Amino acid sequence: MKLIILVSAFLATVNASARVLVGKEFISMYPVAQQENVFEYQIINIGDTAAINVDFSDRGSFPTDKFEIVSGSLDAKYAVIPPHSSVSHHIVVVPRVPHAIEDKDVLVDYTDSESKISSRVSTLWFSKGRLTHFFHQDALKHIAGSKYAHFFVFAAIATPVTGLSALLYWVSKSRYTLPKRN
Amino acid sequence: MKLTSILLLTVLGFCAVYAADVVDGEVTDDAPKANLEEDDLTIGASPDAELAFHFVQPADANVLHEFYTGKPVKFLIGFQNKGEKDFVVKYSETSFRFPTDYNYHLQNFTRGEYNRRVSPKEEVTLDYGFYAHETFAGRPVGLVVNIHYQDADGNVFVNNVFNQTVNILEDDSGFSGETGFLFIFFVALSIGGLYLANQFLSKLSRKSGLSKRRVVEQGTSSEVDFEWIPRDAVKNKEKKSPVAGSPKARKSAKKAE
Repeated sequence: MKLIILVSAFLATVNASARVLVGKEFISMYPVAQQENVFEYQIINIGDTAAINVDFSDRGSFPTDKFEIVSGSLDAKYAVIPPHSSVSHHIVVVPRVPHAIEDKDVLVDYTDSESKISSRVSTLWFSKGRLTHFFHQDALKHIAGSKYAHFFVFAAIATPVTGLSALLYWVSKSRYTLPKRN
Repeated sequence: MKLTSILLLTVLGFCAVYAADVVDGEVTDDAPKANLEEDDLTIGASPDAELAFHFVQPADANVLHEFYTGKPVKFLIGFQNKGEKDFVVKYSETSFRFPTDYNYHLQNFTRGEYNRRVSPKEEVTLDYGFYAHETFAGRPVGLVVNIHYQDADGNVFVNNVFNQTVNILEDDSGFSGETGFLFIFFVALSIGGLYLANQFLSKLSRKSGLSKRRVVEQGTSSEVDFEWIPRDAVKNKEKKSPVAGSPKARKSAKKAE
């Protein structure tokens, strides 16, 4: 009877372990070459025990010959991530040339604090697909900047309306204004 | 006493295991399959795959189950391969269902194609995001997220990772054009009303004579504008003017002459 109860107690606690999820997000407005681009990573422990010796790496996504790391680090270490909590990490990179970069997996190695079992989790960054296109600055101006044609169209619409109003006012004023007498 | 405490711990442990929150934790095979479609009833979850689900945006969605229209909803799905064969995670399907009848689809979101191979003992995290349209504002909907995957033998599996009713709220954090222009309209209306009231009140006071203006004579100005006077009258004015005085005085002056 005692043995059965002890086994039951052991089984009741076997599923409590650390479980880490990794999320990657591009938080700048547009991916532009030769400008700063910010990436945010979230390492979330949804398990019931703490994750220790957490090693984060996204070195594969940003080869140094194509990217300049302005801020943050492509590798990070966290001593412990408590259960049901998360940590965030930011990297600021400047692509040297405008081109498409293949997204590589973000790797996170962690160890369960209770069972001491090590695991590796990787992420597939679906929301942007397998390639991230870093635009040229001129392409960005073409997409998001102001265009000369817009100004000409506005002038073409606004000038007749404004001119007609001004003309009618001038005609009325010149016709009905009494001359000043000394 | 010792036996009683061990028994109590066992009962508590079983409660903790089998009352696990599906949203913020691992999804067990005991998840209800009653809300799956008829085609999916014949396809179940693999015992070698362990899935987890977690909302990333909005941050409190794991607790409150509330989304705002026009703002992105993002979540992560953890896939852990506990078996000895490879799995290929094919895609995820997300949909809004009618809250009282999950077989009725309100909206099907674009399928999230992954085609990610997961080796034995490997874990991967997949993500997906969508926007709730403003037509769903102010109503509860059922959110269903299914993961479709297959093993190395070609067996297809479907795992339901989220299946709950959520509330879609209207986003009122930004400037609302309707409210802004309504405010301007009411301000203009009130100014117009005040102007009309002022006009009406001033008319009333003029009629009753309450605020009669005291006219104070200032005398006439020395400058006279002769333009409107006919020229004949002006010429007559230039003639000699009569002698000042009373008629009797004029008669006596005349006699004296």
